[in-house]
Amino acid sequence: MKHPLVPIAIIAAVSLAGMIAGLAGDGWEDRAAALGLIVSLAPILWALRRAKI
Amino acid sequence: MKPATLRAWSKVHTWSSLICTLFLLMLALTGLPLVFHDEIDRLTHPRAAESWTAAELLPIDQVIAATLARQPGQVPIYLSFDEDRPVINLTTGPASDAPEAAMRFNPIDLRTAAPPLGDAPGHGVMDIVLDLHKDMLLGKAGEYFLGAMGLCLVVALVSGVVLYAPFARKPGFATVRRGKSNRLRWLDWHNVIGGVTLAWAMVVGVTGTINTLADPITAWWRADALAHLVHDRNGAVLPYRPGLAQIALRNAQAAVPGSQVQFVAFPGAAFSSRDHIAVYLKGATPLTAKLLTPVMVDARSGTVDGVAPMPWYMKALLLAQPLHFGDYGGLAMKVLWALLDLASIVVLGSGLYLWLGKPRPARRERRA
Repeated sequence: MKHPLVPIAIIAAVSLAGMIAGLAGDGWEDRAAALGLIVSLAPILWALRRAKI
Repeated sequence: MKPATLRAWSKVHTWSSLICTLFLLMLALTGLPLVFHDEIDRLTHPRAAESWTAAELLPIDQVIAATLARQPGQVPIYLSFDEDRPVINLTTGPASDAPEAAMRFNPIDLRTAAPPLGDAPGHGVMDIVLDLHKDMLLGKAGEYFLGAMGLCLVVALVSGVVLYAPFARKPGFATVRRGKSNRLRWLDWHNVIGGVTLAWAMVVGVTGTINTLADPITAWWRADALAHLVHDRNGAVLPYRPGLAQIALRNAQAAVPGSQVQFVAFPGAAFSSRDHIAVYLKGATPLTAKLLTPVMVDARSGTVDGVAPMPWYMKALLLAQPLHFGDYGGLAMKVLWALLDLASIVVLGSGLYLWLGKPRPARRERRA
């Protein structure tokens, strides 16, 4: 995790996989899509929280 | 990275972003309500849930004949089906190759062969928002221009990631430095939000550009794959033969078991040939329901002439639509999509703020 782009690459890969999986079905696939998007949004909430401390 | 390389990437990022920022802000703002278009349409045009039995429904051919009898001189061009009520939508025009402006859209209740009760004529607010989002009300030129802005976004995202790498070492991942100037804090926010929403922004940008190319992609498909299937004769367009629609639907569905009819293109329409009724079928699974399979039915006999699964580029076009609007995973996904849209507005706004607030001496020094 030393390279600064590693976390961004992981988030992008999970997010992309979720969005594509979501196209394939209405069950776990939709939950995977939502999870992928949450993975993109969570660091923003984390940064917001840390910025307020 | 060498300073000269860094400066070059910085220029690429600055100018690719500046070119498209205002247009992307417009797209992000109009895209926000479009994510919830189903919910907004239900609120602005409330419709009671309808229930019906198959026995109540008139034969489709009888309904088409009744509609054409009310519109002398019109021919059927397209036929589609509402999902939540027994209504077909018959598009008619003075000729099968009539321009879009000359076409009439006729919703018809299959129980009465008359327009459904309570349908409000005219365009809703969401149609205007969609037109603005699609082409800025400038037609094809506006659509292609926005496609080019989508490509600028992709360049801005790639150059942004390249620039982010050397600067991210200092503050660390997802960190906004405290006790620093407003400008530095906004730079950190710009980098954090832009970085973590990279995949989403890339998907929305690329699929948006693909969507603007729908016409040339479809034209290519018609000239390529569809032309091999139809062996179009050079004669006149075969007139619609009353009574053939139901036979065409039945035979097409029999050729692709387990499918449902999405829409029908009558002879001479852009999505058909001169002597075929093209029946476009969708699959039964959530994925195949987003893809279409055209079945070409002979407009004289009603027999199936051929089935043409769509090539990869048409599948990409059809899948680009849900991927662009994020409306395929229920309300939870729509809310998350909207939050990401808001995040993109912050990235665009902060980028503009950082450029406008760039210290002037620094600019002069660089020029020198």
